[in-house]
Amino acid sequence: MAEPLLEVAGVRAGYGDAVVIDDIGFSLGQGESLAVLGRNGMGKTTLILTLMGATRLMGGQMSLRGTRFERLPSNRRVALGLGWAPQERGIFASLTVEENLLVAARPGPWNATRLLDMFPSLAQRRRNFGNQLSGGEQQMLAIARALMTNPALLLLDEPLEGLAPIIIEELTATIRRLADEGVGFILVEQHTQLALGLARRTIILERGRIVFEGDSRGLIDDPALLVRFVGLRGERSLITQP
Amino acid sequence: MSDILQTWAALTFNGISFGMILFLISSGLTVTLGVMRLVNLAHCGFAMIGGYFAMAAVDYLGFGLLASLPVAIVGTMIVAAVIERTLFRWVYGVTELSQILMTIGLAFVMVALCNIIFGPLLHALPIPGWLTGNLDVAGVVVSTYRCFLIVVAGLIAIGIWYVVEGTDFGARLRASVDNPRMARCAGINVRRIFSFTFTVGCGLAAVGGVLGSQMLPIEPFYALNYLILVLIVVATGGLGSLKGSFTAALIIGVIDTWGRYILPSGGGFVMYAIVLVVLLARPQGLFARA
Repeated sequence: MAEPLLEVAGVRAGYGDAVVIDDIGFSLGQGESLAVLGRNGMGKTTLILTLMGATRLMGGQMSLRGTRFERLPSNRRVALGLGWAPQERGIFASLTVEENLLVAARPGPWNATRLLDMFPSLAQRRRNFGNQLSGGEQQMLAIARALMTNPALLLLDEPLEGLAPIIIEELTATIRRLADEGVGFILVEQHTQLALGLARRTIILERGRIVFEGDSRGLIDDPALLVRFVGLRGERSLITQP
Repeated sequence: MSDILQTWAALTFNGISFGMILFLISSGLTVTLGVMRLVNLAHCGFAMIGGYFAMAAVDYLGFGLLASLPVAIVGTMIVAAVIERTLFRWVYGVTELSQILMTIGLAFVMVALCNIIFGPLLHALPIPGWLTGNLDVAGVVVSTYRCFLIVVAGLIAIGIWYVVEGTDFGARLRASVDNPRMARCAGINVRRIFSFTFTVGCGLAAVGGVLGSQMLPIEPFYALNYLILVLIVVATGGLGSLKGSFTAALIIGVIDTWGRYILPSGGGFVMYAIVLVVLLARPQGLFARA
């Protein structure tokens, strides 16, 4: 059996003395996609931040392609193969669009030319500074910047939050295209139906613990589970099959 | 040109050269204070150390001023790198009060060590013969040495601007300043960038210490005597803004020189009054980072 891309076991983390996620364990194969669902405040973003080394880790192990990384600083996790597009986007305001991409560049198939082709609206604004972009453009830039690190696994934290429907459509198509190209990702998303449509597998967090882990299709077919854990009805008409 | 105009032009010229020295010394502090959030009250000590390195090169190796400059820069950067890796590493994450206590303590240690090693006397490094005398610039008689200072400091300022705005390193530095956590999560080694920037900033302070010794003589209390002036430059310019420090240093240099001419007895206070007004109007400084 092939070695998993990401393995997380018994992870407990939070901020200061506060434990936000506890006993988190899952694994992900090469090119696999995982949606992380749950109500607000259940630890979804904290899980992503923990993978990136931006929380206080209190226990557990994490490895990427067999290399333990729970003690590595964030920049070395990126070198190992984690790419992060944060919820708040984290665009470098004093850098141009092009510079935002180039500061993250690592060797691999993704480069600025390819990404600017992928996001034409960014190409048009390549000389604009980060603080001159719209919310949608910032989100595209956050994803493009994460791809510039040529990650083995992309961490997308609520990439569709607060965006206009047309931008959501565009970004959804982009994420689907990434999946088709074999880029593995973990997607935290409030748009439950879209997330289930994009990721093959899903975990649901409740009070910092995993309460459901399985195929996204299982959730699509069992709306009662969604109502129970996420508080939403899975509207079949909105679901795009993975 | 009338005598009055000539006098004021010469004063302004002297003020600009003084401001350039202030900029060289303060540029490193701008970065450490505004970028690395490190309240380094020992910063002027590195300008002093640079001055003493140059003095030692002049006295013991027979070097001239310009030949002693690389010795001062390299020596100061080595001392800065050692101190950064041993002492400063421990204070990055502590509170500002702890940083103040630690760095002011370091400044006192620098003062005491230099007093023991070099004695309490004031030293001005000898300037080469071709830099002595005066030049006639558009009818205004100005010191050749001050012209030289303005040219050198101006070139260094342009060099700093180019590195920060036009190179990959500068882009990574700006990213690290904008959002250190995000920079780390984009794969940038923020720690290494800050260490390097700190060391280079101390090297720039050494340049200011050496070239400015005719105006700010090298002595053991240098580390404390000019600290207020340099802090004023950084605060008035806006934390983390090199453009702000450059502008503030020039303004403060010119106003201080004018003030001492208009009010010889109390002219030193004119600058403080202007700075007070500026900071009341713009507490975040002239060019504060967003």
